Order: sequence, then C-alpha cells, then structure tokens
Amino acid sequence: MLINKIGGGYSFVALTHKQELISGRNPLGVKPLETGSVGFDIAAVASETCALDVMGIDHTGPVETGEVIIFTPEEIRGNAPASDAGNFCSYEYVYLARLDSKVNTLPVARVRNSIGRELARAHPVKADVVVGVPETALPIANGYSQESGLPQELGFVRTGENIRATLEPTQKERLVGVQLKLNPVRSAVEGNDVVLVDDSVVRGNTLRNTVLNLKRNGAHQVHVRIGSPALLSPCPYGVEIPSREELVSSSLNEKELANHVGADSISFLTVEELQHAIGLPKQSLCMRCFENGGAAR
Amino acid sequence: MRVMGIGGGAREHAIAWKLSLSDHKPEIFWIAENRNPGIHRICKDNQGELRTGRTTDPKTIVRSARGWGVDMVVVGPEEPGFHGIPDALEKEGIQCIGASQDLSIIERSKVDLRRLQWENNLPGKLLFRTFKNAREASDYIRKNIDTQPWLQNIVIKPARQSGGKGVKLVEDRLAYLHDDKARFKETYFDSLQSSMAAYSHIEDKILVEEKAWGPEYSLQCFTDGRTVLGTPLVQDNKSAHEFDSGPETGGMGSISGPDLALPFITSEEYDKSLKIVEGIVEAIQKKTGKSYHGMVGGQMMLTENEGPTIIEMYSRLGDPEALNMLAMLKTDIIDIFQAIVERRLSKLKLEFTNEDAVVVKVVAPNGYPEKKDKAKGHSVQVFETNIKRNGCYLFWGNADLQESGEVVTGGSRLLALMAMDHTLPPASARIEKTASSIQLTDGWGLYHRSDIGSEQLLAKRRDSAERVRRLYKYREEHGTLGRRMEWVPKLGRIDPSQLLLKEMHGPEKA
Repeated sequence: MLINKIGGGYSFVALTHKQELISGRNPLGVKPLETGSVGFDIAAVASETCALDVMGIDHTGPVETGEVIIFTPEEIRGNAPASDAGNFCSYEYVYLARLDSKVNTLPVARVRNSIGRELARAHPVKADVVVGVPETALPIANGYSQESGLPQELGFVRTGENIRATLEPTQKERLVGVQLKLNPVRSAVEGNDVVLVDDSVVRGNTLRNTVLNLKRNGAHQVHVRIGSPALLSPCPYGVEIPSREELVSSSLNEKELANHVGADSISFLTVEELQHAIGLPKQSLCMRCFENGGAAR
Repeated sequence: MRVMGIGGGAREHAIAWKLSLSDHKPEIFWIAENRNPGIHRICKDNQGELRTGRTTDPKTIVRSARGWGVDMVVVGPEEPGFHGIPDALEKEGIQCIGASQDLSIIERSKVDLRRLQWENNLPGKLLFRTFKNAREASDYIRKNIDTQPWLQNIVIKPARQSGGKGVKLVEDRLAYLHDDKARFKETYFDSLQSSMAAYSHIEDKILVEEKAWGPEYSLQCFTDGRTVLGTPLVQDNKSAHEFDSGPETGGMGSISGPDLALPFITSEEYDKSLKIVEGIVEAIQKKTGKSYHGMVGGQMMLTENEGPTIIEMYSRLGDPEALNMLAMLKTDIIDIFQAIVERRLSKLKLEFTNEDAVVVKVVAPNGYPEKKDKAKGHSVQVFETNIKRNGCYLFWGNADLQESGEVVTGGSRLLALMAMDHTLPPASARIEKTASSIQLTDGWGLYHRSDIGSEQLLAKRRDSAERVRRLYKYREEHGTLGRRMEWVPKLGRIDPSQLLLKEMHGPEKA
C-alpha cells in the first residue's frame, strides 16, 4: 500500500464526492488519530479523543499505525495495520494532548500523574509545597504531591485567554505572555520552599518569569522539577518545537539554567524515566526532541 | 566664630538649630530666598542676621560673606553647588562646607553619575542608556527590545531635573497592555524632550534605566575628601499621600533609628551602602582632581540584581532626611565642620544617639506638589505650646516671614514636624497629636502623611525588604550578584552590561 511507502509522521483525512471518508495514520503512528460514531449513521475521525467527547460522539478506537480506513455509506473497510510497534510522540503525553484525551489508548491524565510520581521518586527535594504551572503541569504536580507526600497548592491563577505559550512567535510576546497568563497566589507560596513543577522547558523565559514571580511574592527556595527531559532538538515530524538555537537546554546545562532562571535547583526527567512513566516499550516511543540530532525515520 | 548658612528650607532650619546648640557658640548668619521664620529667629538669637537674596548668585553670596566677615559657610541645598557658590567662596579664601561645582555633578547629572559607576565598575549600579531626543529613544527601544529584555521594564528620567517633569516607571509585563505601554513611552519621551529643550548645553536629554523595586533609603555622609563618615540611615517617603500613593514630591517625611540602620535594613547592607558612596566620592575626585568637603548622600534601594543600589546621589544633605540625622547627632556640628575644613575627619569620632528613633512629617498646603500657585500665599497660624507639650519640634520650610510678623505659605512644603521616641510608632503618634496645631487662617487645607512611622507602613517596608533580599542573596550565593546575563533565543547568552560598556566607549575611540 501507498501509505507504507511514505515516511514521516502524518495522519490524513479525506472526503470524496462519493460520500466517502478516508482516514489514515502513518506506519510510525507519531501523531494519534481516533475514530468515533454517532448512533447508526455517522462516523467521525479526530486527532484527539476529547474532540469526539465534546461533540457527543462515541469513541470507537484509534486508527492503528499504518492503517487506512475508508468509511462509505455502505461499509467500513481498511487494510491490515502495520506490524511495527509504532513510534508514538512522547511529547503528546507531556504537553500536547489535552488532559481529557486518551492517546494510543492511554488516558493522558493517568500518564501525567505517573510522570509526576516518577519525578518525585527520581528527583526528590526538601520543600513545603508543590505548585504546578497551569494548565498542563497541574496533574504532574498532583502526582508529585501524592508520591512525595508534600501538599499541592494552587499557586497561580490564569488571567486572560488561554494562550499556549510555547507556540507564540516572538521573544517579546513570550516575555510578556507569561505575565498575562499567570498571577501568583501569594498566600500559597509566601514563606514556603516551593517545588515548582512544569511540563517542559522550551526557551526558558516562561520559567524565569515564573520563578521570579514566586520569589517576588515571598517564596523562599524554588526547586524546579520538569516532567520531561531537556528539549534539545526540533521535531523532525513537524511538531512545533522551535529550532535548536531557541531551545535553552541546548546551550545551558542544568546548573547554568538554574542560575539563569533564579531557581535553587532544577531537574529534568531522564529519557528512561519518562518512558517508564508513560509505560510503553522504549521502541514504541519517539523521543527525538530529547536527544541530540534525532533524525526522522 | 561667625558661620553663614545658605538656603531657606526645613533642612537649613535644622542645620541652623544644630549650629545654635554648638559649644562654640557661633554667631549665625544666613542667606535664603525666603525669610524662613525659624532661621530668622535663630539668627536673631545668635547675634546674626537672615538676609534674603539669590542663593545661586556667587556675587551676592560672596559679598554677604565678606560683609559679615564669616569664618565658614555651610551650603544647604544643591542649586548653590551647581552654580559654583563653594568655588567662588574658596577663591575668596572663605572656608565652605559644600560640594564644589565639578563635584556636584554626581547629583546634577544622573547620566554622569551612571557613567562614573560603570567606568569604575563600582557596585550598586543600574543598566542605563541615554538619548539625545525622543525619536532616538523610541527607535532604540523598538529595535532592541527583543535582544535586550531589560528595556521592557524601565524608568524614564530627564537627564537633569527640569520643569517639574519627573521620573516615570513603565513596567511592560502584561501582554494586553503592551501596545499602550509602548505608546506611553513614546509620548513621555516627546514631552521630556520639549521640557529639556531649555538645557541646550546638555547633549543627552533623556535617561532610561532598568526598573528596580525594593525599599529605598538614604545614607547621608560627611566627607573631607579623604574620609567618608556615614550617619544613620533615613527613609524618606516621596509620594504625596498615604501608603505611597499620589504624585512624587520632594519628600513628605522620613524615619530613622534607633540604630544606624533602619528596622528593615541590615548592618551588612549599611556597610555595603557606605562602601558604594565612598567609591563614588573617590571616583569623582579622581575624575575632577577636586577635593570633596561637605555632605554627600546616596539615595539607595535594595534591588534584586545588586543588593544596595544607587538610585540618585545627593551632593548635600537630604530634605527632610537631614532633620532625622541631625536630631540623632550627638557630636558638636562645628567640630565636624572644622574637621572637614582641616581634613582630619578620620580622627573625629562621630556619635549618634542609639536610644531614640526619629519621625519627621512634612506639612504641605493643599495644591502641593502639582498646583503650587493655589498652595501659595496663605497665612499660617501655629500653636507652639501645643507642639512643645507633645515633645515635637517644628522646622519651617517654604514659608515667608512678612514685615508684619505674619507667616505666609510659599506653595511648596510648608514645614516639618519632628518627634523622637524609643521606637518609631510612638514618635509618629506624637506628631499626629500635634498636627492640628498648624492651621491656615483662611481655612485653606493642609495635609501630611499620617502613615509615616506607623507599624503598618513599617511592616510593608519590612516585607518588601525581605522579598528583595532573598532574591539578591540568591545571586550572592550563586556568584551572579551585579551580573546581567541574559539568554536570548537565537542569540544565546548575552551580557547587556558589556553592550553598555561598548556603547559608552564606542564614540570615544572613534
């Protein structure tokens, strides 16, 4: 089949004049693709299960790796999925996917909790409270709190629209963007040593402003714990991770980064720890952005 | 011995008061632009005279000093120094306590002060950039805001105090206000340019500094050019109204004591602040080849990046900060002045009370500071016995004694009330009890800040000191104190201070 000959990470959906809906997911299965149905007559395809949920569509299962499914008014037919174990994007679990989705049958919320627990086991620190950076890192902070026994506090309230900071274009917007988003809850952090949990570090500006903001609001020590390994490379499959010279971890080591953001310590999950937290075999996960010079397959 | 003072504010009244308490029993003469009722009385009681005249005119000053045959002149405010009064007096062989014209540049030109700090790599500085005009400032910021993130949060200042145009703080951290803030910056640059137009001899008209936050305090010092002796820290309150709201004023009141440092400043921070002021005195003497003899002060702030930091310099005592310091001073002031003149300050032991805290509150007519014409010309009534009964002292400021004996407001800060007690809050309370002893006979209102010296305001200062202290201590522990490293996407690590030094030295080489 044609799909087996086209490399890279992609999914597609097509509508034909014959009322066919054709959907396919590349053999590596980097990006998720899900199917659903409404009653007896409507089939649906979505990039995330939460999209089906909110439309009132029943989730019927993922499009498998290398699978092409054709929905016609008469039938649903497809090829045999690739025998390959797949190469699922691990950043989906860390940051991209919505909390109420399942990705490759794994509930994102459970994975993020497990990432937090792994973080607490592998990178413990003496502190008074755990605070997550909204929204993505809140369930990770929750897992950290449950595993470490440190209470979780809601340390920030978001103001304004939900801008996903990573994807904004310019440095200026990034610098101001974080302030727009996060207003610290002073009583949650004042006088406390804080474990600040975030999902990932891209340019480091969000983190720097956040740490500074906590300290300006009276937090004592701030220990940063990141629920993924340091981002070192752009995504060969087109996920919007910026180029290498925009990734702070590609030029600053952990100690330098801690100094740069004003944190008392900073630790990332290792690639092994992240894989363990997700719970899929290593060969099924794509971790190229966490490695130096990962090329596409 | 005959001493002559210059200046007619509450600070000068306090200097005259201390002179009158000296064991040397000096005869006290004075020149001020207004007939300050307090100074007038002290001069009369001490075989002297208060004469009105232009305090920035060397001829007037020298003529009076020679006419009276004074042994020593003490300069109160900054403007006489800016106009070379000490230089003129010394040329005539008259001893003068006050920074000479060249030295007073540390106060007159905020730009020169910053350059001096950076050229000599002194601690306690802020990033800055100067501009010749509004367009240059706007263009530079627009062009460099991505690569020099400090330009987002800035303080805009006129390079010289001018036409009431003051300091503007612009913090650009909220995305939805970004465009408005950028517009505001440009508008303010424009208005600064027009108000600075009068100072055609000053090339750099607009000063932009990195914005810092933290508690502010003043460290006033005596110096003979060799030794710099620190005095108790004083905190002035610049905002017109309660809890730091309202427009910027010359200072609405100040606190000090009972120790050398303030309740929210550590003795380590005191020592560092003194070193910073010493460094500036040394550097400006080296640069000008002149010897500094007089008073010098640092208006300081604890900041995240540097710890103790110079916001501005005084080439004189502060007003009203002088009142606090002089009230705590136990050493005879004439002994200090003589030691300065004879350059033997290192042998003098400067003593201050360590039992009393001092609160000063300024009383101003409604209309100050923005509508001074409305605040001017009101007749003042004072119930002195009531002030004394509460153990308070009155120092006249911008008031004018008429031939009729009536005292009239000048439109600026009318007077200052001072009280001492074991701690600040009871001293503050004493002044509150007596504030109604001053009234304007025509019913026009007076105001003062009741919060100065209160437990509540102290708690606020302590809180901000502790928060900023934690941040600069972090830098101290991590070896980044005073450093300005930035990591900018695509550019990597940049050091805005290196950029600044390069820009400072660039034109000189070319």
